[in-house]
Amino acid sequence: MGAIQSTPKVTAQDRAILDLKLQRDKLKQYQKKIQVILDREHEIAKSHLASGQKDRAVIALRRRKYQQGLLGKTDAQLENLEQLVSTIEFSLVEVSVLHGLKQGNEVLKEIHREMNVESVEKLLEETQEAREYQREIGELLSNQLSLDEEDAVQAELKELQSQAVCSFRFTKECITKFIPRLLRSRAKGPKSGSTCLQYQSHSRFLHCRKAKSDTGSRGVLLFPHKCPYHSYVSIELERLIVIPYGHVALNVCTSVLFLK
Amino acid sequence: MSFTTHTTRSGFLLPSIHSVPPFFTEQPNPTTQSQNISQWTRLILAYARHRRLFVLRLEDAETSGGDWDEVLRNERINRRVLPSHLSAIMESMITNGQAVYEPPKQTRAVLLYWRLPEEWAEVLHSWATDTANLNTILTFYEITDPPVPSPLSDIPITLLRRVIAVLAKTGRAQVISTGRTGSGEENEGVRFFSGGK
Repeated sequence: MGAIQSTPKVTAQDRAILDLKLQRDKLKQYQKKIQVILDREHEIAKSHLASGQKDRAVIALRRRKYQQGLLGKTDAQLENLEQLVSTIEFSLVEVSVLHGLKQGNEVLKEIHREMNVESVEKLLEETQEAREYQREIGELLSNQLSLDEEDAVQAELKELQSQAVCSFRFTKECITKFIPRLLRSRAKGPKSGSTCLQYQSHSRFLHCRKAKSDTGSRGVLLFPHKCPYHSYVSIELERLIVIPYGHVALNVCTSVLFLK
Repeated sequence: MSFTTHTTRSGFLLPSIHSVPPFFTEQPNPTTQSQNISQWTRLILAYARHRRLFVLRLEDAETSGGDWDEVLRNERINRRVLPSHLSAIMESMITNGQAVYEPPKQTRAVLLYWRLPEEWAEVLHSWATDTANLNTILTFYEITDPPVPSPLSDIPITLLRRVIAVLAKTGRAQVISTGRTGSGEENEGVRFFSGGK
């Protein structure tokens, strides 16, 4: 059994505890025995009484009383023993707690030895320096870049501006401003503006209408989706295309070539 | 007469074969006899488990008034197991490892293994775990006679020793003796460990 590594050694402490517990068990057994005697004496007293021997019954009861006293005494002893056992067991727990604390303390010390305040400060300083250095480099580089590419950027900007003159995307505001005027200028129909524009042709666009702005320019309204006129204004605003009348450019559906 | 099951006063349900008269007699035919003995073995172990009886003696068949009357006797059909028959049953149980002679070197009493020592070992270990008695020193008395009844209450010390030996083999128990003269129940205790399981 000793070969099995997981079983700890039996210490003198263990033996002492075991001894105490055995004593306790013996007391318990003794109590049981006394209880048996008590019951027996009670029976004896009863049978003597039944047979009319009162004095013998009294003697039996006296013996019983004596045994009862013994029982009480053993109870007190048992309490003592049990207290002792539980005190020892609790002390063992305390010892193991202390041991745990000690170990934890040592580990903490070990860690602190590696990580003293000075080294941490030094490390932080170094980090700070490195960061500053990095920032300087970044500044240098960005300055250079902006100088170098300023011209290119300006050129790109100009190009974009020139493109915007001849082509821009319809925004929501453009349409809401433009469409009603458009409708007013070409109003022919008897009722609302929504039906006044006449259907002109069915090209590759799903829906196409001839239109003229209030400034006199003619154009064709192209709708990517066939939808009621009044709803495109609200729903299809961003896809509404206006191109000059006569220019059926099929691939310009996202830009406006002319509008004044 | 019809062969029916019967519930005894202790609440044990006797099988219908218990009301068949030939069941109580030794059979001359070896096949029938072995059949008969295996039925008896099953009945005895079941009853022992039911009543938590650990010991079966030849005496139980010889005289009435013992714990085994409900099984070894059937007054409804006026039959009882004869000691020689019971002896044969005991012998067969011992060869099958379902019992051992206790004390050894005699053939009049057996310790019944309605749980094998290996099974008892699991019961004992789980009891120790459940009652938080791991790593503490326990006396045998504490195990066999705990203040709160346990599955191990009243287990014979000899069986308990065997069970502890099983646990000790796997490193889950350790026997401690006080070191005083003699090594009996008076001087020994046991300590359980959580073990690998």
